[in-house]
Amino acid sequence: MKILVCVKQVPAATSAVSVKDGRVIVDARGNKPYSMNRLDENAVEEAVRIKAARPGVVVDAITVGPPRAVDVVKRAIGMGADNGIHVTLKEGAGAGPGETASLIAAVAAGNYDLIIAGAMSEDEGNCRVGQEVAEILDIPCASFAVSVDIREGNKLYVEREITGSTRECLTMTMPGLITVQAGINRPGYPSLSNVLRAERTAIRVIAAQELAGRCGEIRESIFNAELPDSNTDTLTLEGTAEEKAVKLLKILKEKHLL
Amino acid sequence: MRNILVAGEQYDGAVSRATFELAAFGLDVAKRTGARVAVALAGNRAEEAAAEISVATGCDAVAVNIHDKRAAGGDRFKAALARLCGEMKTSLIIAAHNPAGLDFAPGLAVMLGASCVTGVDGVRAREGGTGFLRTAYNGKVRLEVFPDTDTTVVTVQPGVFAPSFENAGNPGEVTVKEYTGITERVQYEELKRADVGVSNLENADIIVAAGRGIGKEENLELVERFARCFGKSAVAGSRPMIDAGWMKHGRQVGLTGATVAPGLYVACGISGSSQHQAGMKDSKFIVAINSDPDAAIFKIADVRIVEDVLSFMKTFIEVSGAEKYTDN
Repeated sequence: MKILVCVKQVPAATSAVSVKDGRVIVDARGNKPYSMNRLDENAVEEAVRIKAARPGVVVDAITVGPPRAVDVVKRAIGMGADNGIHVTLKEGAGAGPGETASLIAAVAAGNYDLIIAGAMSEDEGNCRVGQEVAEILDIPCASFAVSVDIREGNKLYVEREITGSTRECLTMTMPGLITVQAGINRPGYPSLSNVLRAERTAIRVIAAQELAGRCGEIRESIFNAELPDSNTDTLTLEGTAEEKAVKLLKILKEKHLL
Repeated sequence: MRNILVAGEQYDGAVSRATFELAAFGLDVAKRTGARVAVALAGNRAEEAAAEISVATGCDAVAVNIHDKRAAGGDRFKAALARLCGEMKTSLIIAAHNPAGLDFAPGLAVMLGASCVTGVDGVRAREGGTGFLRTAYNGKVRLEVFPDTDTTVVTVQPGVFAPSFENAGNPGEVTVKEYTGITERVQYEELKRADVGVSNLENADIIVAAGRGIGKEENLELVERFARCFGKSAVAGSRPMIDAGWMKHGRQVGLTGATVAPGLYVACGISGSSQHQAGMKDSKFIVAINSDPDAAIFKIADVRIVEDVLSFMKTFIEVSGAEKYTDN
């Protein structure tokens, strides 16, 4: 059985995000300025869990991104994936969800029984790539999966989260694609032996331009970026933590909220 | 713009609130472009639901018979919508930004060669078309997306567009469509309901909510002590608390949890994603504590405290004198 997991490198949640000339500027900072998108960790974990439960499963991890994105492919291997694929974009060039899906589908072609993606990314949060990859490949798709089980006859049983307290239960025949929501599993940490293996594993590199002939047109573009309106009445408390606590207490008492 | 189609949701004859919001959004876009708006509904008693929404909004409505047990969305609905769009010469399809709508909307866009914009929370009329606004980077940035195709599929954020209708009482055209020969590749089994634990959030006048910033499950005890400084308060959490298993779903505030509007909402270590804000933005007084000075929660806070949330809570407990915090 062959599984493809889609992983994305995103700026750390603590990154400063600003807007200049209508474009988004991300100042990725800290000792770990970039990391694997959280839901993609869940996706890798699910693939590795499926692999551990039965013989003959091979897990490939794929990313679409600039040169630095190779780190998330390595992390996926560190978490237990077998192989890595890096579709490279030029440094500074981004790819929207439509384009990303096209590229992944071009590489995946008909080669996988199951494709797993995170339901959405932490940075742009479009919630589109998985569903679009499935549509391009003409395979069934179930998004926001919180439980997955492989059954007899090449079937996948999926529970999708509809609301926090309701789940839709579905089955589909593979090849198929699922996108995973938080709560499906607790991602494990890379093991030392897998991290070492990740360093030794040759990652297949494909430049995005090489796939251009197999990709659809770009269908929408970001026209402008801006900062959201802020509530100019926000009062920022100043001073030491203790001074702020005292001030907060005073404000709440004055407002009869305490 | 030619026509606008709303992909609605209805449960046994009752149209969902989200669908009314989508219809209002569609009518707003239609005002500027002169398009007609129709709402498509599938499932059991769809005809009744179609009549209901047509009277309530003045939109046209189409009851689509697709012989599907699913409550909303799904494989067959997507295929039926694609056919309907072709027949009705639709240029804008509107679905809800939730797991039901998102399951089919992006795939539908690919099927139609249409542009796709998800999580829409605003529109802007531009020369040459309509820009669709969405929020990204955990609420920190607004992006305006412009379609490069004639047809667009959007998913719209629930809770943003108010369901009010000038033409209520003047029903539009209601039709029934039958689609056969649609292959279903995802079989619906059932809908399961989970144990959500007790929820007293909707009645609480003071809510202290914890988010990822509290770090570890053990720190919830500190949050409870902090909450006690406020007298009768309820402790809630943002989605990550529930996903990590630290709190039961009944305590979640946000789009997939409870919507609350207490007199006081204290957000501790919560970044303030759109999904969380959707559940608490109408709170009367919002105090936010976060070590990230740019956290999106601060945009809607009345009081902004940039501090490490754990040490601030300890300090506040000491200062308020409500309880002495002792190290054992």
